[in-house]
Amino acid sequence: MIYQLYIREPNTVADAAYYINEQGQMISFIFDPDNTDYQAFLLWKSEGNTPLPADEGVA
Amino acid sequence: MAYGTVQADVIQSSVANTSLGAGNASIMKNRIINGAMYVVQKGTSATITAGAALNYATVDRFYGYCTGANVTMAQVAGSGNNRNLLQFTGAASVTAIGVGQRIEAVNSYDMAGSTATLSAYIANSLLTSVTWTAYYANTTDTFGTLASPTRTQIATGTFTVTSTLTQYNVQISVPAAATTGIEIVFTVGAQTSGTWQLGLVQLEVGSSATGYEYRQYGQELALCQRYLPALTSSSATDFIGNAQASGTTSIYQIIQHSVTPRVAPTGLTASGAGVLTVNGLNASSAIALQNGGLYASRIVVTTTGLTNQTFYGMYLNTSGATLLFTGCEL
Repeated sequence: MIYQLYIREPNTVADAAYYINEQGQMISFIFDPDNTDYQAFLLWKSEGNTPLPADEGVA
Repeated sequence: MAYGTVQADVIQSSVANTSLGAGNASIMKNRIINGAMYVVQKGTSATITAGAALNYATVDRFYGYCTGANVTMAQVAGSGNNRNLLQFTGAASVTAIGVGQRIEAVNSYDMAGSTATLSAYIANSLLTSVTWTAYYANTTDTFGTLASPTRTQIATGTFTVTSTLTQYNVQISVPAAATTGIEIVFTVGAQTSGTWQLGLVQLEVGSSATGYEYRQYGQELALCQRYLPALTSSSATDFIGNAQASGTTSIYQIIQHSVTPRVAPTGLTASGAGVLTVNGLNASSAIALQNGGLYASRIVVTTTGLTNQTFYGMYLNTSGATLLFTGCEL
């Protein structure tokens, strides 16, 4: 699994990410400390992983 | 009776052993939402990963968890009064399975300082003991995580169960401090095979288990959508509204929530990256949450061939496809 960062309007830096899970679901989340996917993302990053950088929007 | 004379009964005595607003005398008496296991917006079956976080993967409002090995959690057909049941299928090396529901403070505040009755239909083809536990949140609507719970135990006990679906009930003295939300949890031990089923779960005010409160599907769905706003497609061309293109590859759609969620969504789960179609154009290649709000949320859809600033109709293109706005559960 790999996370892709994206930028939400009108922001200029990545503040959300998405990934596709084993069931083919596309899961996106904003960087909210209460969001369980964001918590998992932070744990994944703390293990030395790096998400794909954001380009424009989610393209 | 002479004109102008009013003959009245005492409400409190009109239903034996109950007071107005309690037990049989009330509607919406069941504080458990979706206790009949009807509503499934996410999918009827899921694998619960051992040791992971609480998993709201199948039947709405109920989380599951397990230790030792993965298990399957599913909505299955029931029997008798139980149209549907929540079922766990055991597996080798499983050491425990739990299922529970967290009740918002606003929906349980009045239970503090009173006696409540928990009832449920339970069957287990392998084990004979099911433990029930009631908690209240240490702070309003904040129960913590599976690994780090922030809750206080109210009471616990066991039901001795069999493979025959049977109704069990227990009375719980809810302390005066339990104004912050209540959590009900059922657990079993080493479910290394077989199945464990629950249905018609009810938590009500009063010292006796009254009949299960059947709510209409639409009501129960609305109650569930406070915690999981969702769109589910009923066809291969299910119109969900208009969206406006921004450039040639991104299009933004506002989705009005039919029920105000508990809190604004912070995530979106699309059943597939390609489940949306822009009318007359292509299917999506990505779907993501742009903004979450209490009344509406905005999603951004990636596709090709758009004309900037143009409005397009948007369709869910697969029967059963879902857009789930997440982050609203307790």
